[in-house]
Amino acid sequence: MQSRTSIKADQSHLDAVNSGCGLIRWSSATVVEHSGPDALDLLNRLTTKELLSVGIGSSRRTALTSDRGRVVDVFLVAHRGENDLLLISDSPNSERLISAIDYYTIIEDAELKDCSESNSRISLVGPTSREVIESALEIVIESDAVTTFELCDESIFVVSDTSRGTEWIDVVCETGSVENISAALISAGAVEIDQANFDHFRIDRAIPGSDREYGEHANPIEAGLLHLIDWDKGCYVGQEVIARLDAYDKVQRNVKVLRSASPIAEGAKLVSGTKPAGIVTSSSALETENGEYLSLALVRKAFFEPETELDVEGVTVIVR
Amino acid sequence: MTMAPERTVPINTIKITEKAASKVTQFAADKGMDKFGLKVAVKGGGCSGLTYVLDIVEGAETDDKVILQHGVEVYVPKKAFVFLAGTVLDFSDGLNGKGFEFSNPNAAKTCGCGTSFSV
Repeated sequence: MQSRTSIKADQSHLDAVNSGCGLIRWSSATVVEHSGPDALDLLNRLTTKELLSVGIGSSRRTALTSDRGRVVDVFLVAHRGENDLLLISDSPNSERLISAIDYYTIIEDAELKDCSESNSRISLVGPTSREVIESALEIVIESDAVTTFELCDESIFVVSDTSRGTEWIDVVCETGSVENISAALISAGAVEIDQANFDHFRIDRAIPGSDREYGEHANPIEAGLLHLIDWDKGCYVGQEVIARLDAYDKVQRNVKVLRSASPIAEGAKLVSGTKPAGIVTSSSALETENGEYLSLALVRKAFFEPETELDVEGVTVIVR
Repeated sequence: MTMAPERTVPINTIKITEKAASKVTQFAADKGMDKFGLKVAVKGGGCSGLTYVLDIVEGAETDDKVILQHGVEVYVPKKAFVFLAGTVLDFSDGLNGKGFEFSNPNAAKTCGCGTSFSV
């Protein structure tokens, strides 16, 4: 008989992101320079958030959807300077974002440059993130702002993002500097979080993940990105479909946290008796303090009620 | 046997109807422009992804394809022409009129208000 050794979530990591400052080093993430006089106007016409009011020094997260209203990518727009934007996405697939924007660049004076290989991204997550970075780098960070500072002739970009439901600050620097900057942040009180514990935190907080909860299989409303839609901004790609889904109450699924006694597989189908009930999109392999496992799923509307019991491959899961 | 759809406009041009040309001339006169042309282009954005652009301008730009019809010069940027080839631009007025209307054979889908399309 095969026995399974369970691994508990690291409480020091979870304490850092929940009540201190967790540091996450992205192994790959999309970093794109978007420059030119039409760049911001183009993104405003293409994406779900109103962006024309994002002045120089400000930032805002937005979603690019297809004409069918499905999520292509979600990214932070950091307005670094005159006609100069930095786009940061959680997706490792920079080509997808670049080709989507490029497709719609016709008469616009705007250029895209993929900097994902030459740059690295660090995220600081947790309520004391701002204090930590201000102390470490001796800069002042405003909400939803991009701050540029020079370190040894290199420009480093610090972007705050209030759209995630927790304090979240991204640092983008040349790959060669990431060790030194991480060390400075850790010295100032940040705790480095590994991928498994970060995923556990993200699932617990129901923070949608790229190509998991959102992607071309989901619209932004069901994917937990409702806060990234400005309903009164006018047209953007997919707006008609998304407005219709909302107006006629046609959204059939939503992101829910599930609890179970054992880990469940991502991509597994949820059922209630013989009825399809949704699909598992993210699953933590780490056990919670009280011996449970957490997952995120796109759950069908009929099963939204907390404590609803569902089945996935013979394992009982409970909607939280 | 499958028949290819009949094209009313050759794919190497776009057509502006006499009524649309007349409206363009009227708008240019209202603006006091002696020398004018109609810029027809496509930009990213709108519900379906690509939005029509119409503007009365003084002259063509270097990269524009110039088409003369009913006394009106139509300027189409080369990058936009691929999305517009074979299009008919008409004008409908009256209480139920929609103003300038595009009939674009490249459009696979058009949004409800008709200002954007996808190919």
